[in-house]
Amino acid sequence: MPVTTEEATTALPLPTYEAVQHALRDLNYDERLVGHAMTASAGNAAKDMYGLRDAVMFLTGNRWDAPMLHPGFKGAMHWVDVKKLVAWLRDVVGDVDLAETISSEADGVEPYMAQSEIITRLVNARMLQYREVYDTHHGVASSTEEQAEPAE
Amino acid sequence: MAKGYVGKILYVNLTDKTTEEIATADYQQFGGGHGIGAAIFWDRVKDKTIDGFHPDNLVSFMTSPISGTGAPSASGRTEITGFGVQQYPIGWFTRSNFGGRWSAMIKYAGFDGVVVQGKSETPVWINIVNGKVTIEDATDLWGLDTHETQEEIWKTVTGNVDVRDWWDAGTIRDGGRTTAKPAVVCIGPAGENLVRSAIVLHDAGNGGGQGGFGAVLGSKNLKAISCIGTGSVEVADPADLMDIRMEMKEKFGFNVDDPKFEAPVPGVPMYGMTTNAPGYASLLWAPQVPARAQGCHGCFKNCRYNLEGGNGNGDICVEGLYWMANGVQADQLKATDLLDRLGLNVYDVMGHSNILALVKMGIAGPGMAIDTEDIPFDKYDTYEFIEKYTEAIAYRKGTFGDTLAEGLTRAWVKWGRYEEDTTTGVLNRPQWGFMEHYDPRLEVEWSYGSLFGDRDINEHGVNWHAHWMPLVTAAVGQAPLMSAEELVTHFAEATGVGDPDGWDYSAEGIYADPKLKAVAWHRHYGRFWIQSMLFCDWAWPQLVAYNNEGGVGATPDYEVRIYKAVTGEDLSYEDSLEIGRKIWNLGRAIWTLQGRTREMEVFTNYVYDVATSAPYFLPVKENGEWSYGICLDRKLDREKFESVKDRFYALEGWAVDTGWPTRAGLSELGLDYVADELDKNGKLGA
Repeated sequence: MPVTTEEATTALPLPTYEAVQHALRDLNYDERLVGHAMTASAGNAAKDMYGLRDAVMFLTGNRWDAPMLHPGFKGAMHWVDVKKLVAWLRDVVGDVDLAETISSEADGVEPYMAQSEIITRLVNARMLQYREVYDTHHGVASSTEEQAEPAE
Repeated sequence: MAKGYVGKILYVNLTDKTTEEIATADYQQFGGGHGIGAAIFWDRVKDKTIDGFHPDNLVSFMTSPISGTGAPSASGRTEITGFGVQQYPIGWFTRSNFGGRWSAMIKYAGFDGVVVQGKSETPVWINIVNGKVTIEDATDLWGLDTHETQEEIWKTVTGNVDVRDWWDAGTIRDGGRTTAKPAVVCIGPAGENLVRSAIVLHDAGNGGGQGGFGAVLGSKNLKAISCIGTGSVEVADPADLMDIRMEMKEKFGFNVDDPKFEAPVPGVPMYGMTTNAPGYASLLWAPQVPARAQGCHGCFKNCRYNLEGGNGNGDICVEGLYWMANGVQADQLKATDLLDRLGLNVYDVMGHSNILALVKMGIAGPGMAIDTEDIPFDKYDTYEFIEKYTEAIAYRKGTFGDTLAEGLTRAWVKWGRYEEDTTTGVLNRPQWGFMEHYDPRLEVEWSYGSLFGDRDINEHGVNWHAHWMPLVTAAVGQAPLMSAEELVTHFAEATGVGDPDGWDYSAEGIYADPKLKAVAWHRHYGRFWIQSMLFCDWAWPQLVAYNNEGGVGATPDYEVRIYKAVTGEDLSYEDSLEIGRKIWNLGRAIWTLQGRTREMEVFTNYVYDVATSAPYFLPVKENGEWSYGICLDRKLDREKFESVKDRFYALEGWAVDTGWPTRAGLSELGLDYVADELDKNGKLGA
């Protein structure tokens, strides 16, 4: 769902530009995160994520309240083991602050929909911070006043 | 003969351009669709060891007595049979199936199906207009994509009338004028270029995907089969058929004005297969553009969409997952439409993600051991990537595209990575080179059925309720729509298997005798009702219905009622399963002659060696109690699976040591002539 600036406010400190660049780098096979795209027609398809960019698209891809034309649209679910996600963010991606926040706010939350919504909110908020850092570094007006649209 | 059949099947010899009419009555014992296709194949393909590309390979496009009648979700599908070219290591005798309106139209044009054999020296297409058959020059169509091909044929056949105008297709009295366009099934460039994953396509998005029949037609220089008819199908009891249709709509359908069963959690988008809301089948696409529901001929559900812009029309199922790397829906739809137009099977070519893994390992890339040449895997999340990748396969561009055109499994073999990557699961293809669909370590009626057969079975009647329903309800924090015990009880009763333990997916239950009976039922039901009577897999069997009293689904009562209303003949449900068993065994005999052995019927190593790592809810019975188990950390046990083979072969009447059909088993099914042929070839099970 779209995240407003107000909702996106987090207690996380802003990362440095260098940290943002590091976190968004491409990863190799051994560094990947594996999630599962679950669909009614195709079962559980493993999804390899080779960087934070892939992970953001995947994690924010659950459309629990998607603007469906029909109430019974089939849809799909993106699932990730939150403990593996936290470890990956901390140890591979290098965004310790995001990892710890997800761990404290989402780990152990049930059902998965509620957990996923927390993760989506935190990841979207963190990406707004990344954007702010990026824009500041490049001398463009901050765009965090806009709504951040999640990936499909 | 029974009502519902037109009475004759068109046989076309492409080598000498002759045609023949086969009396459908000669094959009625096999029902229709797959059964009749297999029986004609048996009779007319003398050497069962030929390759799928051999001119003698016989491909049938068959309907059923139910096709074209308006029977609910059972009227619009066409079954294709013949030797395939996609499977690995051998292109088994196989099948595919597509929806739309071709099956109805060929019957209105005067035939129960079309069978093609031989090979034309030059490109041709078959033109059927109200019983008149001509073989046309397709030189000008060769090279066109599937949509362009159909549009050109529409113009030719109709005299290029405006889409809203009447035109004269008349060769029979009072039946010649129509506004309909011909129904065309055709191949695209991938089929012409003999790509092993080439499909046949009809209308916008009805693809016959698995098996590589597009390439088989390409090898025969057959671009398309077009049919248009203004006839009708004689139904034994039209009033009863209409009553059944209205009854099913009322009991099981979705009423847009007053739905009985909406998504239990408002807005949650994963209940389509329980609500049957129109348009529910589109997999990931909550359309961001105006769209309207549409369906196959006679369907009361209308599960797919036509979308503004035209890309992805009629596409459902896994083609919607082909490529989603950039998160832009318009590009995803365009990529799916590209598959349709070039005529490629998504369930092979979507292995681009497996190739990306090799790129990320440092094994594949430009100039590397696996040379990806100019396919820009470094731009994987751009449409430029998926367009170049898809076209490279369809047109066999470069060494890389040419290798992938042999099918991704064969590409892995050529690269020398097949054993290693099917052991680690980097290449998750559990049997016969097909991509993993549902988890072969857990949903074993699917994986056992696929391995003992010819392809990924792709039958969802059990799966949506046993797996998807409890998964979704658990994910959203809702109680299951039906308890595990209630669900398996319904399954046991509706299938006729009788034992709920057949749907125990526990670590022991998947090897137990009741499970094997459920697997056998699945094959026999599928072979008759889904693949021969051509009831749509997305609607049948209906083993439970959450919006009906007591959760009771339409199966088995409605299948036999529909059959009776259309044909006028009584057929018990038990007898229908026996015909299904006969068709399944006929196929088994063909695979045996092709070279099938017991030793070949093993999964690739990852199924035994790599454990599941994501929640996968299924009914399990533990300590006498039923629940939906999460089924984590599960893999198949080799020794126990070998025991499954012993007992399943015996259950089916096959020899335990070879897996070949026995004389006793075949004789019981009235297939003594099949036993004779196996015996003559030294392949009769003892």
